[in-house]
Amino acid sequence: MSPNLHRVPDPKVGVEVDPLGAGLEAPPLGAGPEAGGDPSPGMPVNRSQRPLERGLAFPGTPGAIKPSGASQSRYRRFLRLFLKNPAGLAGAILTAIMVLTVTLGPGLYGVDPFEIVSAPFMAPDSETPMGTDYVGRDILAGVLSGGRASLSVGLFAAMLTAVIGLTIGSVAGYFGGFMDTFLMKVTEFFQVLPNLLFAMVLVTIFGPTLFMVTVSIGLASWMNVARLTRAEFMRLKEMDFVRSAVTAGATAPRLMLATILPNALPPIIVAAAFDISFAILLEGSLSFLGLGDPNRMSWGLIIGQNKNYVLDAWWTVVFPGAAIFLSVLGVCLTSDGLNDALNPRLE
Amino acid sequence: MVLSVENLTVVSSQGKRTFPVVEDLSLSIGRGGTLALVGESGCGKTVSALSIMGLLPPGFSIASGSITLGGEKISSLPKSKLRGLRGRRMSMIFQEPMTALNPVMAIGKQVAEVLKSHRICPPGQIKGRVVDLLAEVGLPDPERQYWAYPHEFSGGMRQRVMCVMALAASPDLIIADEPTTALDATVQAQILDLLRDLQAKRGLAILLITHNLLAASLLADRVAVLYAGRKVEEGPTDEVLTNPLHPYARGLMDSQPKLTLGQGGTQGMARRLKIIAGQVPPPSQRQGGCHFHGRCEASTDKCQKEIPTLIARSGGHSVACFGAEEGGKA
Repeated sequence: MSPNLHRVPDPKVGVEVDPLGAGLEAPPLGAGPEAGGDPSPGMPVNRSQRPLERGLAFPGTPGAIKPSGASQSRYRRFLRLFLKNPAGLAGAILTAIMVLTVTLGPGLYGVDPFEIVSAPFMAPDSETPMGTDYVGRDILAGVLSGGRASLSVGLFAAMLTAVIGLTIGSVAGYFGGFMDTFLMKVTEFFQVLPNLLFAMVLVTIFGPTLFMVTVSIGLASWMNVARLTRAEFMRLKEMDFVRSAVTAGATAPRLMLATILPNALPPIIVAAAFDISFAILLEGSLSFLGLGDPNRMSWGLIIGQNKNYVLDAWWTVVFPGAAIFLSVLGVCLTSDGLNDALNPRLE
Repeated sequence: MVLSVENLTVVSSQGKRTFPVVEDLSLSIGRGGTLALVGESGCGKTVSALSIMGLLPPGFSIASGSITLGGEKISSLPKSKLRGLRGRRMSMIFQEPMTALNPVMAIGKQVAEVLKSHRICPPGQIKGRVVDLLAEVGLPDPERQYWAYPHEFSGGMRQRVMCVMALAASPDLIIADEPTTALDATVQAQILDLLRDLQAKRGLAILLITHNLLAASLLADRVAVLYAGRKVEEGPTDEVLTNPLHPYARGLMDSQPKLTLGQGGTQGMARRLKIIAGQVPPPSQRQGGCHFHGRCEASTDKCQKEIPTLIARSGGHSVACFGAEEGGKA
């Protein structure tokens, strides 16, 4: 700073560093503040609208803002970033196809998955495009309606996982101390239980309904999200912007939900989306072992019931297996794309 | 008085030992007044500020003294009450505008958070209020900036947003902790200008924490010089900057480049910068007597044994130095 700034508000300083003021002499380029996506660098501002004449010397003029940035709403920004990522886009399309197929498919195909339609072990042909299973049920009908159970178990179990994990992780990470020690011991206790075994025990005790299978999977897999959330909260609570929110008088719940959580979300969303795929797989495993809901067709159930005949009738296992694979792949790719798009720092 | 700090002593505990970090500090700021707290790093400036905000880090505590904000003694308030005061009665502007804003929240939302935390206005009016505030600190096109993210802003714009956040709930006191240190020289002047304008309009009291004497001279009407946790000199800004009485304050002035205070710049340009040899002793190594005696050219035996008290001189100027006591300057 030069010494002539001392005390004397030098009018020259304002002019020199005020490209905004200079911009006023130029013909207005934009249509005005309402021009939504207008990328023009010289945003016209009337002098009469400027409440602090002297304070407005302004090197960071709107020209310094990326035109794509401030003019866009959050949703457009998110969409633009998400659509830019080929893997995420492919994942989203794949997931959408899977979801549409299992939502609309059973109605369109119109075959009861439990109905015996022809002889057992019929190879795929025009009658039964994916063949028939060991009792002569249509595999395609099974794959279509089984997907409803598999995908909804995946979704709801992952939601349960996220709710439990976020709650425990954020409380432990934010408050620290005794609370942290206690909650992390609980988390470790659950973590040393083998997921599949734990879910099997719960299903065995409480009965193999679709609801119980979902809850068991949720209870058996929230620990990763909890630990990840805790780590993010511990890292973020020391950051300057959290301290500045504290000095602005934010309450603990507001700090946790509004300030810290959105910053912690990207890795947690990835983990939670991964949990969807994990839950789909776990549901498949439970059904494979005969612990799924026997009254609901699911991909795991088809594979489990036909597992002894896989060498002779590959189609009984390959088609539901492929459905599981494609769903998991779609969800994983989507979660990766979400990670890139939800994080403005990566832009 | 908006803020008055009386005989504040803050201690830091390491294991079973405790060290005073700030000793016997008294400050006061009236409505519309600005006090600059100057000193080297490690002098206790930030700890003083955090103790006023009630946000001392773990291991630090107020050992004695009191802090009064607008007639209410806040140093003994429970945490929950203090939370309600922060932002609404007093707020803080940080040094690093680059990291002090939430990177994933639109800046308008961040300002809105402050209003929501204190239930300042009905939810329906929050957005309009925020846009008005953004306009007030000179952000062009505030409607659009409401949805902008911090990474789209330059340092100066971010610091303006920080000012908005600090101002949103109309506090009486703003503590500005090195508000311009991370900014370019021209932007520094603008932010100081902005603070002065806001102060004039709203009658804010500002506690400016800085080691930049020029910033102090531009904004403050009084300056308090802190050394190793003790206030060694205080007085009107011009008086302290042109006629420093304490050897440490003089050392600070001499170590500033080109600070010629209105007299054409030649003599200041030509000389080599002086430095104060040594560094601030950390709290654990401070001994009796004047903390500055180890670095002071005019130190005597008395300086090593006794703590000099703050003696008032003419014109509201006071100094804590035996040398300055005896005959004008030491």
